[in-house]
Amino acid sequence: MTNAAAPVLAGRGPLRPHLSDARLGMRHQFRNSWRMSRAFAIGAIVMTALMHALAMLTAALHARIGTTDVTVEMVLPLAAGLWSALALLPALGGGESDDPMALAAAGAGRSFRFGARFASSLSDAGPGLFVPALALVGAAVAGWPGWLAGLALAWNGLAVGQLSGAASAILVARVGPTIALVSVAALVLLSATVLATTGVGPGAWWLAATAQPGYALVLVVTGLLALVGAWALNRPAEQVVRSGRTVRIPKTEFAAVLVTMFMGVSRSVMARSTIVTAVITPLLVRSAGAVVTASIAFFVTAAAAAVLGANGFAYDGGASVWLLGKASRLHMVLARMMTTTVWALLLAVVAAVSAALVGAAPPLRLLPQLVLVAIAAAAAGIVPSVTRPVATDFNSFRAQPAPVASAIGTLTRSVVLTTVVLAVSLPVATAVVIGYTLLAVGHARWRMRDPVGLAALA
Amino acid sequence: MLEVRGISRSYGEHVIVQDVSFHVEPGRMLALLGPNGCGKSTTLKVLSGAIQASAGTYTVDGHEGGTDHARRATGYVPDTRGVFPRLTGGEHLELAARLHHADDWRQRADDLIEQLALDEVVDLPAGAYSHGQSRRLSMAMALVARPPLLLVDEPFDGVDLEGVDTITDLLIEARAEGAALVLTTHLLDAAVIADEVAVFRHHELSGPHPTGQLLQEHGTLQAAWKHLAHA
Repeated sequence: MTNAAAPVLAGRGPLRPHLSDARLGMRHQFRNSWRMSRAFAIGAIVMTALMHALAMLTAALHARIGTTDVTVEMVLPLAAGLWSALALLPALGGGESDDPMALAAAGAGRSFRFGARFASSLSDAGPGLFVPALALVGAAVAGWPGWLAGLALAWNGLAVGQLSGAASAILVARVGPTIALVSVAALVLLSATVLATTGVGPGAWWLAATAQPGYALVLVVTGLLALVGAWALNRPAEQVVRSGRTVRIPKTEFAAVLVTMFMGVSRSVMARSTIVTAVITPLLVRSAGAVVTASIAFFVTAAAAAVLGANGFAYDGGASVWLLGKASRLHMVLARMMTTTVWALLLAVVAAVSAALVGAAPPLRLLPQLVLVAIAAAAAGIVPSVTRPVATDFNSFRAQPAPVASAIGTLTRSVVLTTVVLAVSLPVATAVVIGYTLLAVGHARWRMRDPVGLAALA
Repeated sequence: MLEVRGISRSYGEHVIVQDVSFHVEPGRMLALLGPNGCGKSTTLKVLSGAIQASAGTYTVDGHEGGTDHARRATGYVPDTRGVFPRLTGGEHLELAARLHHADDWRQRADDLIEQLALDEVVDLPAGAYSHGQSRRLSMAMALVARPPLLLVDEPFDGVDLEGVDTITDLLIEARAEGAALVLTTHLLDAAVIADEVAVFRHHELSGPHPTGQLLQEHGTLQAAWKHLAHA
C-alpha cells in the first residue's frame, strides 16, 4: 500500500509535519472561537482596566485596614503573583481545546492537540485578563522595559501553564486530575517560594528583567522549554467512570431541588478547582514577596465564586427543561443561589485560613464584609451575561469554562460588587448586596420563562 | 384528561406552533408526526409546563395547565438528554418520584431499572451514560410515579432495537393502566401503537385521525403521513 502523503512530506525535515499540525490545531481553535472574538477583545480591555482598578483598590484597602505608606510598587508583587495564576489556569480547567477526543478520532495527533490547547489558552479568558494587566502594570511602573518584562513573565506563565495542563491529563482516574492539579500547584508554589526566598521570586523577576534584558531572555527561553515539555506530555483526556455514593433526596420539592443542585456543584471538578485556587492563591501572592496581602481573601472569594456561578449552566446538563416542568421557577433560582452562596462561603473560609497561614489573615472586624462578598458573588452568577444559547459540552467530566462574554460579565459584576462592599460602610454595603440579590433573583426567575435562554443563565 | 385549545408559541416573530387543538382521553394514545422543526417538541414543552404558550390554554385532569396539580399529573420525556450529569441513575428516579409526591415508588423504580436494562449503570453518574441509556433513564423518570398523563418526545431516538421494544411495551402498559399519552416520533413503524395520529404541517396540526382509519385508507402510516403532510 502506498503512503500518498510521503512524497509531499519528503524533504521537509522531521519538524515540518509537527509544526504544520500544530499550526492547523491553532487555526482550528481560533476559527472556533472567532465568533467570540469581539466579546473577547472588549472583555480584555474591560478586564485590563478592572485588574488595574483592583490593584489600586488593594493598595487603598490596605491603607484602610491599617497599613500605611502603601505604594504602587508594593502592589507589584500582587500582579506578579498572577504569573503563577496564569501557569495554573490550564490545570484549573481553563485553556481547554474544543472536543479534543472527537478530533483525535478524526486523526488529530499530538501536535494538533498541542496547537489547539495553546490557541485555546491564548483566546481564553485567562490570558485575556492577565496578559494585558501584566503588560500595562509593567509599563505603568517602569515604562517600556517593564512592559517587555511583563510580557516575558506572561509568556513564561502561559508556557508553564501548558506544561501543567498536559501533566493534568496524564492521570486518568477522577481522583487523578485532582492529584495532578495539587502536585502541579505544589511544584509551582515551591518554585515560587524558593525564588522569593532567594530574592528572585516573580515580583523580583519582573524588577530584575526590567533592569537587565538578560533576565527577560531567560524567562522566554525557559518558557520555550516548558512548551516542548507540554508537547511531549500532552495526550487526550480520558473518561473514567466511578460509582457515586447515593444521596437521599428529601421529600419536599424545594429541598429536593436544593440537594440536587448542591450535589451537581460539589461533585464537579470545577468546585474542587476553586478550592485549590482558594488555598493556593494567597500562598502564591505571599511567595511572590508581597508585603501586604490581607485583602486577597476577598478577591479570591469573589473571583472563584463568580467562576462557579458563571459555569452554573453546566451543572444540570440540560435537565433544566425537565426540571422546569416539575419544580417552580422561584425554587430553582433560589436553590441555585443558595448552592453558590454556601460554596462561596466555604471558599471564603478556605482563602482566609490559607492567608492566615502566611500571616495575612483578613481582620475579624471585616468578617461581615467577607460574607457579603460571598453573597454578592453568588448573586452575580445567576444573572445572565449573554442572551443567546451557546454551545456547551455537557458530556464532559470537566465543567467547561463559561464562554468569554459570560465569564467576563460575571467576573465584572462580582468584582464591582466586592469593590462597593469594601469601599462603603457596612449598613450601606448590606443594603446594596440585598437589593442587588433581590433584583438578580427576580430577573433570573423572569428569564426562566423561556428555556431557550437557559443556556445563557450564566 | 388532556384538553388543548388553540395553543400557539412563537419566539419573537418566529412562529413555532400555530393554533393547535386536540384532546386525549384516559387510556388513549396520540402520536404527533411531522418534519424537524415543525413544532412537535415545542408543543410538548408547553404542555409539560416547561415553557409558556404565547396564546391558548390547556387543562390536565381538569386542572389548568402549568399549575402544581397539572405538573404533578404529567410525566415528561424531553427530547434532550434531560439528565443531571453528576447524579446517579438511582438519584434521578428518587428525585422524579419526590417531585411527583409519589409515596410507593421504590418497587416501581426497581422494576423500571430492570425492564430498561439500567441495572448495571444505576449507581453511575448519568454523565457517563450513552445517549440510549440517557433516553431510557428519562423514560424511567417519567414512568416512576405512574402519572395519568405522559408526554413522550422522541423516546426511540438513539435506542437499540431491544430498547425500542421495551419502551413500546412500557407505553402500551401505561395506556392499559389508564394513562393518556402524547408521543412524538419519526419511527412510523412504532407510531402504529397510537390510537390516533396528528400531523404537523407548516406549524399547524392536521387531525387527530384514527390510526386504523389511516391504515385502511393508505396502507401504511408512511403513506398516510406523506398524504397529510402535503395535502
